[in-house]
Amino acid sequence: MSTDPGDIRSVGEGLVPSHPPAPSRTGASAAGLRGCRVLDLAGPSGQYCGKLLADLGANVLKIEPPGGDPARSRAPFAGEGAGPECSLFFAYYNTNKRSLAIDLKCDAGREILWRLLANADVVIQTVGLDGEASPVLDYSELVLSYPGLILTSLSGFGTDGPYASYAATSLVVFAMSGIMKAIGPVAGPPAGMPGQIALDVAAGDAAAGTLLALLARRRTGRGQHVEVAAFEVLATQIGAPAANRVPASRSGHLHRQLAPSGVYRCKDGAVEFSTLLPGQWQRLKQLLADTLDLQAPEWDDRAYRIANADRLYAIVAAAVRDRDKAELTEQAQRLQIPCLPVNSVADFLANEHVEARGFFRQVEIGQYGRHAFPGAPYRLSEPRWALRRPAPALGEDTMSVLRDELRYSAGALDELREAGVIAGAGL
Amino acid sequence: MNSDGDGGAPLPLEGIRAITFSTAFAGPTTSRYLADFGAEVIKVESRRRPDNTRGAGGPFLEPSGASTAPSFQHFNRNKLDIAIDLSQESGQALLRRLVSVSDVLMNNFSRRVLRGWGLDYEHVRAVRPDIIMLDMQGLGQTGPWSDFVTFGATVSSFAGLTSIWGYSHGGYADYIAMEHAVTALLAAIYERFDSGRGLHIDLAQTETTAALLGTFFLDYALNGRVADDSGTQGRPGAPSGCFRCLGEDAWCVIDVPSDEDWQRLSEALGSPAWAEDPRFRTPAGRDSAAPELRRCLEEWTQQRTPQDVETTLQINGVPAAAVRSPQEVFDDPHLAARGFYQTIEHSVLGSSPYAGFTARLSETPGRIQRPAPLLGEHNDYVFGEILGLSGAEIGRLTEAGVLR
Repeated sequence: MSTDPGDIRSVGEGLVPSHPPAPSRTGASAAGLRGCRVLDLAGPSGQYCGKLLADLGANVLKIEPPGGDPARSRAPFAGEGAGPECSLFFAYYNTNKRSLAIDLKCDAGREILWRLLANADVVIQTVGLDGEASPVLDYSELVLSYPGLILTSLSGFGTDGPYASYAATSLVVFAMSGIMKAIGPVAGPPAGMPGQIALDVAAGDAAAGTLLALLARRRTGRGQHVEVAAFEVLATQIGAPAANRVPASRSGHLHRQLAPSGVYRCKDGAVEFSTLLPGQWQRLKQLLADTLDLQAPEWDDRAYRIANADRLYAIVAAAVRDRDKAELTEQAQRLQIPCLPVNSVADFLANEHVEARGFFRQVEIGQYGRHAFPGAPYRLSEPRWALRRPAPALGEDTMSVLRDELRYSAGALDELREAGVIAGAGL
Repeated sequence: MNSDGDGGAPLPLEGIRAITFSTAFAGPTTSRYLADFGAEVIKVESRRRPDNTRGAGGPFLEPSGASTAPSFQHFNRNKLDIAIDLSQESGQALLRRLVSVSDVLMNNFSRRVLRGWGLDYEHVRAVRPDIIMLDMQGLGQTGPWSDFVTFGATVSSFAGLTSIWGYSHGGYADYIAMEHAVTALLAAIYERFDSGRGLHIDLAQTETTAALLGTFFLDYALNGRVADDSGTQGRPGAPSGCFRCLGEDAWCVIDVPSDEDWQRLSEALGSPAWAEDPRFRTPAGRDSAAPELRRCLEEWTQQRTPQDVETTLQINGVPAAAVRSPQEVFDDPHLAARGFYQTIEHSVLGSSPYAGFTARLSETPGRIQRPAPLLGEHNDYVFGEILGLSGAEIGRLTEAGVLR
């Protein structure tokens, strides 16, 4: 952190600490991401960004209201529980983070935040998500006091343009992306993408943008504002305007442009395969050599396969209907055809390959014992991905950080707690 | 090559050279992110194995006869391109020499192929100890299925996404893999500034998709609940889902997460009598009466266009949207007002708009520095200027089919 304490200037009544902040840390630059301190102010929709950085070793301090992060009341829950420590949503998105319970809606709380900023390299916030109308921090104000700080703002639509004040959720952003009309079942309403994948992907983009800003800071010593609008992340995925002049249509199990690629039911479940390359089509014919309908030469013409995709799908579907999915996968792979079983979450967890790679870790989840916990999305030696600690209890680290790092006295902490500004264990 | 053309601040990745051999989506979108922010990304192709988004057989031909296409430009702007035949020993040796003066090597080829070319991590590390190498295959570098071939949609299916997304085909796994790959690479580059050490990244695309299904796996692990595709019609909580509107294939989504939003929705509808039903006052009540709620709400949406529903509800602060087609996204006034699309001028494709930069950095914004490359366009620069081969030597290797 390159902020010079001498740089602190007044930016508004009630925000500026009454005494100088702790001196900036030295030596941070020698420790890569582990030397990075991140304040995570994101609501439930943006917490994957901080998780990505925390799981790679960044020192992430989560700041939540004394009544608890709204993520603590997000489903799914462990068993019948519904208390603040029962949310599996919270448990997943907040691994490796510490928790400070501070009310940022009052001046006293914001003064604590302002002091924490002096030791921070990055702040992550969400804007216009989860029903929060206004962002916690305004970059133009922040930069005056903390020019070395990086502020990352994740929103649905950004802060200008006709939708700037729109309320965003994962489903809303996905509906606007164009993908929902291009993928999904043919009959009935278009299918949304489950969970909050759309916003998590945007949160991944925000993590990448944050890392770019950290790299830029190595050169300039200055921070900057990183803004990611989920709508733009998804709009990029639909491709190039000039390449998409044909109206898209939903085609269910079948991937029409790559016919007969798609999802096929078989005896004990389903498989998906692709015939992207001409050779893969030829080898699929080899795999289904008994199906004479496929051997007709006109099928070798890609345009013909697309024009008659539904008939082709029906022929292939009949040919694989009574096959065993594991056997089919193995035979197809022997012929170098991209083919894999369509797994349920239970199937994936039990898959021999997934197990051999050790994707799931056994993790103690609160009072519920040890359970399979989704692990590393990538494996690298440094910075090392690891589950160093489970998601924090509400305010678990308020006292240690305020007392030991910010040097608040016992009396001052008592006063803040009584006023409802802070909460947490040991206070 | 990374000239500071328009006088802006140096981009964050200037001075980083990345070699990429990968095709289709996940690999090229990852390296595009690096190229947009200043890395010198050299894409490896050959006349025999051009990138498959070049759209062979399409209308756009480069002077050499190679195909190009808007999709190829979408994925590969800002990159340099070399044509080199890696099935030849001398091609492999040249690429190893190039790796020895590079910082990053990324690919999504199978392990078998890489080993055969002497371009797996063990070989590469021997010529460039501090290289950062990203392998981003579907199933990763270890495990009994690591030699299986995959394609984006099969990755989604294997990881469990397809089963909860209505068994539709879909290549969405590529985009999930890409965001993770960029994050891993940038974290590794940042780390290397301090440690001076290179490293290998084993990214299994199936595991990046699984990482975004984390809550579904935990729900199964702790509660034994196996998610089905009911989530495609919205979250638990009501109303949340997709509703029919006025017009052909016309739909909107409404996604009410809280009691406050329900109040606002009710007011936006003009507080109709049915909305006063006491059962609808709590999330649990709305959930248990979801089909009825859906019917009442759809009666209202069916009399309006999707855009009308979106505007009426969003003005009142209710999360709602018209379900757009891709074409409507390209023509979207919000994206236009924010200047999201960037016009790129290309010698064969002409001038047209392309998606801009998803991460907007206030001081070091992404930059379009060049259009998508022609096949082998930068052979002279890469083999001449970077590797120091003479013009005669490059000519001889081109003649011999190595550099083409």
